[in-house]
Order: sequence, then structure tokens, then C-alpha cells
Amino acid sequence: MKRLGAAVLILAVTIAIGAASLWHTRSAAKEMTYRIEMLQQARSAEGVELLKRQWERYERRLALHTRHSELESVAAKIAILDVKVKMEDELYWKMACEELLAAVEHLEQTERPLLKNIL
Amino acid sequence: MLTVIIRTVILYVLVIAAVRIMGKRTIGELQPAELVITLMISDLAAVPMQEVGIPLLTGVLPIAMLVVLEIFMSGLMLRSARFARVICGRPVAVIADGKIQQDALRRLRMTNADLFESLRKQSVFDIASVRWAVVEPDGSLSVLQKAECLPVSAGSAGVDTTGEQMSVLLVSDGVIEEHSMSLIGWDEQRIEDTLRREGVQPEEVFIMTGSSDGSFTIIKKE
Repeated sequence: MKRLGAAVLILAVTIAIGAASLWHTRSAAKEMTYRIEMLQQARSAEGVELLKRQWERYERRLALHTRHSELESVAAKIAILDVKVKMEDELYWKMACEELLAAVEHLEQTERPLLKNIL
Repeated sequence: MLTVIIRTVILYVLVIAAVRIMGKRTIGELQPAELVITLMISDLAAVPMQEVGIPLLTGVLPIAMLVVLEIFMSGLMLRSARFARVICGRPVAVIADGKIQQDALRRLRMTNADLFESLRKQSVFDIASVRWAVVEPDGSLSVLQKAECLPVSAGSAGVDTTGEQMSVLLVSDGVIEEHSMSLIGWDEQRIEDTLRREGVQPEEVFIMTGSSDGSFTIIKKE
């Protein structure tokens, strides 16, 4: 009975950690998506700086349960935004924002317990 | 590199804890499913140990789930004999009443060489001396030899065995073994008194064994 109790407890903790990591990834992705879409409409260096700091805060916790290669991909695209914000070309700016949005969406999608991820 | 070292320590403790929670069996007595789980746990622990680019949780959570599944499955097997048979299989007699069951050997994909090897491991060198040989679900072979081929036992020779006692380890390398002394009705005071009478300090003792009839053996450290 003790062992069964321990198994039930471990199962509960495991599921709780899984659910918490999914919730955290989704809320981080939602917040980042909102900020990126705002930036896409109104380009500003301060906005990019805020986005970078926001990402650094999320990244610290996301690193506990997400592949680091995914996080590095997002960080690399934010670094590109930092460069593109100083350029004149609006098209390049929008492309850079779209690429970052795609990276954030991919990060969120890979955490979901979808059939394609399980298989 | 320090990360690798720290992860190794964490995962080592986790694997030991996982194996401990799952219960005691030696490698040789594991059911096939248990052996697979043990191998999977070690494999899962190795990945985040070497690959610092993936979170530690990618090793910890699967190991935890395997432990949970193993405990649930062993609980189910205790409650349902049918389920246990599905998972572990049934024992199969390969020699029944002195006759080799060739069908059973074929079904088990067991060659004559395998059968003879298993018999030799049971110290049986003459197949004609075997009355029953059963292949257990864990793959081991249990053998019942014909009565006329068995060594004489104390009981059958009429030897008085009423004074038979169990001997337990009381002191090991200078340290009193508290968990075993109660098995024979001894306590720490009795051990110390006995050692004092023999003129030996507990720290000087390499091995001390004792029995419930009061007999003991002391081996001093060299």
C-alpha cells in the first residue's frame, strides 16, 4: 500500500509538472505574440528592448522544460529584430517580425500534447 | 562540464531511488517486463546526462512515469492472476515425469544444448535423473530430480536436527548491526557483555555472529 501511495503521489506530481510547463509555455507565447504584433505595427527600438527583456525573463523558466534549441531559435530572431529596427526598409521589418512570430508559435506548438507531437 | 557532473549526480540518485521504490529483485530474478523497464530507466537517465541542451526534466519525468507504471502493473498482477499470466507468461514443463516434452521445447525455441546448459547450472549432469524440469516465466529452469538420484538428507538418514539454529551477523567491522540482533533475541547490552567477557572491544571486532542458543563466533580485526 505504501508503494502504491508513493506511485499515486509521483503520478500526481508528474502530471502537475507537465500541466504547469504547458500552461507556462502557452502564457509566455501569448504574451510574446501580443508584443511582437504591436511592434510589427509600430516599430521602435525601445519596444524591441522591452521585448528582449521580456523574453529573457521567460527564457529562464522555459529552459527548465523546453528544448534549448527552440529557445535559442527565438533568441536569435529577436537579435535580428534588434538589427532590423534600425533599417529603413519596412518590408524587412515585417518579415523579421513574422519569422519571430513563427518561431514563438512553433515553440508553443511543440509543447502541446498533440498526436503529431506524440507520434 | 560542471553541469554534466551535477546532472550525473542528480540522475544517479534518481535512478537509485527509482530502483529502490520499484522493489528488490536481483537482476537474475527480474520478469521480462521488469528487465525492460530497468534497461529503459538507465537509457533515459543517460540522455540528459550527456546532452546539456535538453532540460533535466526530459529524463526525470519519463523515469518517474516508468516507476509509476511498474508499480501499478505489479499491483494489478497481484490482484489478477489472468493479467499476470498475460504479462509474465506461464511456466512450461519441458520434462514431465521423466519424459522430454519436445513440443514444449519447440514452442519455447529452446535447443537441446540450451536444456543441457540449464540442467548443468542446476548441478544436474544426467538427464535420466530428472523427473520434472519447468521453465519459469523469468526464463530460469526449475528441476525436480528422481528420489533415487537425490543426495541423502539429514531427515531421511534419521539424524536429529532439533538443535538447528540460525546464525546472524551481530558486529561487522566494529559496528553493531542493530537490525539483525532482534532476530535471535539478542540486544546491544548482551553483545557488549559478551565481548567484555571475551576481553574484546567492539572496535576490534571484524565479524561477530550469534545464534539464539547463545553460541557466538568472534573474528578480530588483523
